[in-house]
Amino acid sequence: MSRHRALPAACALAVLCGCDVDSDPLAGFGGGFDPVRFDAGPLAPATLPRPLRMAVPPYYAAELAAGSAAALERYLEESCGFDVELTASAAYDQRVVEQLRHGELDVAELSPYQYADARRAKAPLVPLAATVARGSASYGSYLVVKTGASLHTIDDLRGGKRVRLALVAPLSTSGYALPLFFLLDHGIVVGQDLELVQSGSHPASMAALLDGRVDVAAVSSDLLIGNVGLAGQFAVLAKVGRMPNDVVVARADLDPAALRLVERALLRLSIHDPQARAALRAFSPVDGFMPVPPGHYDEIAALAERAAGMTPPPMRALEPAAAAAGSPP
Amino acid sequence: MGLRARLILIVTLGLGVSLAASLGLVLRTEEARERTATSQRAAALLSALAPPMSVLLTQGRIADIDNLMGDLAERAATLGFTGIVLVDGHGIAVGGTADGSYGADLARLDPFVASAIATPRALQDPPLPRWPLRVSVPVQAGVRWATLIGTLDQDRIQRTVMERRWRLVVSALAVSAAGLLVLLALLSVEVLWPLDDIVKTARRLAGGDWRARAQARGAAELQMLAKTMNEAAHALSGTKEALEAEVARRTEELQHANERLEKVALTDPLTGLFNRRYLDQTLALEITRQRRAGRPFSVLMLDLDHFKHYNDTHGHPRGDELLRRLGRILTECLRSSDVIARVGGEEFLVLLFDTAAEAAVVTGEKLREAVAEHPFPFGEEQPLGRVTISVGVAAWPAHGDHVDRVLEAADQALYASKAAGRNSVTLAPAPPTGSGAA
Repeated sequence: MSRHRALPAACALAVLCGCDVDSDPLAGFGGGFDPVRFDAGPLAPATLPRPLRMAVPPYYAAELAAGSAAALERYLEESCGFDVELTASAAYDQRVVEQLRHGELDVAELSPYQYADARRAKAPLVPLAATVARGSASYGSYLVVKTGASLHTIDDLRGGKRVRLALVAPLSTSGYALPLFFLLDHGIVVGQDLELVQSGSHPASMAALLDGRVDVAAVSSDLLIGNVGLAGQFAVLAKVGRMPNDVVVARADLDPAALRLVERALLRLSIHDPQARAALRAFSPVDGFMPVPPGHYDEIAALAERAAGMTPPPMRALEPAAAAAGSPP
Repeated sequence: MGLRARLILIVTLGLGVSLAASLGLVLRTEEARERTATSQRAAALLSALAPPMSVLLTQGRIADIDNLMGDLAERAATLGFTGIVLVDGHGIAVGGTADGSYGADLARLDPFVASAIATPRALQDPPLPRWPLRVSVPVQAGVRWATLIGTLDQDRIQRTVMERRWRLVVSALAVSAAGLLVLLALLSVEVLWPLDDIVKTARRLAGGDWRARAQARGAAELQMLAKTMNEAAHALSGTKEALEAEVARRTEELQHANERLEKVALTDPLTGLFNRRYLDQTLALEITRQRRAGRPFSVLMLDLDHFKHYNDTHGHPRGDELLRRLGRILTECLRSSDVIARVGGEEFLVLLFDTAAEAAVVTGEKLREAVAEHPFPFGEEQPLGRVTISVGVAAWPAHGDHVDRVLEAADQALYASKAAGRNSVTLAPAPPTGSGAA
């Protein structure tokens, strides 16, 4: 067969055969880190001169004070082979990053915005795992108003009414960075349309909203999911967006063997392991951990870069509940 | 088999084979596409269930999972499933649309489940390109918490595919039939009808109808063929006409030549008068015609007097000239209907139609006088002092019933003129009764 005949014949054959050759049509479905089949391989044991110090976010302070962290400490100690001390960070600020930088902490769970800000500041941190909480790898941020308020849309915030907005703290992702830039991007002018009030925590923001100390509160989906009794008391003014969950980081100069052991211990935590499940009970929103996917925190990092380039808007402290004054606009 | 039948057969066969091949290809493609689409639809639906399943699983809300599965069970058939089951990372059933599946170690019981929970992506059983009976999708939210496995309603899928196939086949057949008709119509217009016209024209040409011309229509090649045939017919027609004209011209020339030959054969070359041969051929015929019509005719026998003397004295060329002049005189003096022939050296015969003997004598006298008065060269040197002729006259029916008798009588009358001294006209005496004269 000549070449001239062979080429069309080959094309026809390819077409005929190609009709039945499906590249995997289900390739787009699935994925996810499988803790059941996770195998980090053989790891060398590590010996630390002192217990490994791990910080968790401030909202676990009460659980830690009540001794509920003991199960997680025990799990980590048994998994890693060295002692572990869990502490709660004092606030959403960069002090925890400074503590990691100075070796006062070895491992810490940071909010996405804390981590992004630390990355921007080139803090020597190694991400170990991203948390998965409430059945999701990400969570949302909302602007909420009290039921019956006259605010219904973002546009109602305009007009120089100086609506009082409760934000958590400057390094809170869902309680500060995401809602603030969302409002700025929608042409809301801080100081003219809005008065920013720092509540210190998501529950405090919601409480201030419900008792009338603020008109709008920026809260996370975690708060709404965890407080089913709030139904009917508030309405969502806007969904600000979604962001990845917290990330667990280690200081970069931690013993590499210890770092790998902690990482393996975290990634093995899942609902499939009864002991691990019991260890996480004190940290009820957290379901487990997954390796940090590439680019997982890039959008938040871009937000941090943007915040660094601007002067933080003025924000006053939230007055105590007893001193509540004013009324919703 | 004629060209029309062959073409229709070839086109129908070609179209049929193409249709069958195309349909086969399309049906195969359609089935592959349906397989893929079915798998993807199933995977998409199961994937849509994954987020709420993740939330419920991680919070241990088994009753909520059961509620969700119960609702799904009512809609599973509509969604193309016969059942959906949720298995954890170890392959243990933790929920499903069917009751009684909780707690079963499906990974141990079912190799597909074992494979599904150990594969970090969606799977189907059996693998493509065969039809899927089941599709599995990981339930994941960053971390994989479980696996959803849906069993597809194979009968429903097959029915759908078969319905589509039939619709496709029927549509293809309808379109092909329409296409065939259009193709045949085009073929007729473009090829068959023009070809018929060319064949008919060729037959007419072969039958001698050189005006026949084919219409240049249809496909370009056939138009060219028709034009070429018309040009050839035109050229052949012109050649034929030219040949016919040439043949006619040559026939005419031949006829003229024949006439000239005949004239030469029947004419005396010296005087241009008829010769004896002409008389032999026509005299009897003309006389018979005259006799049949009952009309009289006369014969004049003429002879130049002392022509030998003239010849001997002045030479033959002068003698010939004398004869030519005599011929001209005779022609000038006689009617065009009269026949004049030179029948001997200096002897002439004149046949006068519708002329009786008396009138013939007058004509003979007129001729004699004309000759005697004509100034022939050297005429004065003749024995009679001039050139003269002697004339014998006879007539029918006065001098005989038969032409020979009439000629003989005229000849005798000529001798009588000669004997009487020449330069005279003598009417033959009437024949005796009973000699056969009328």
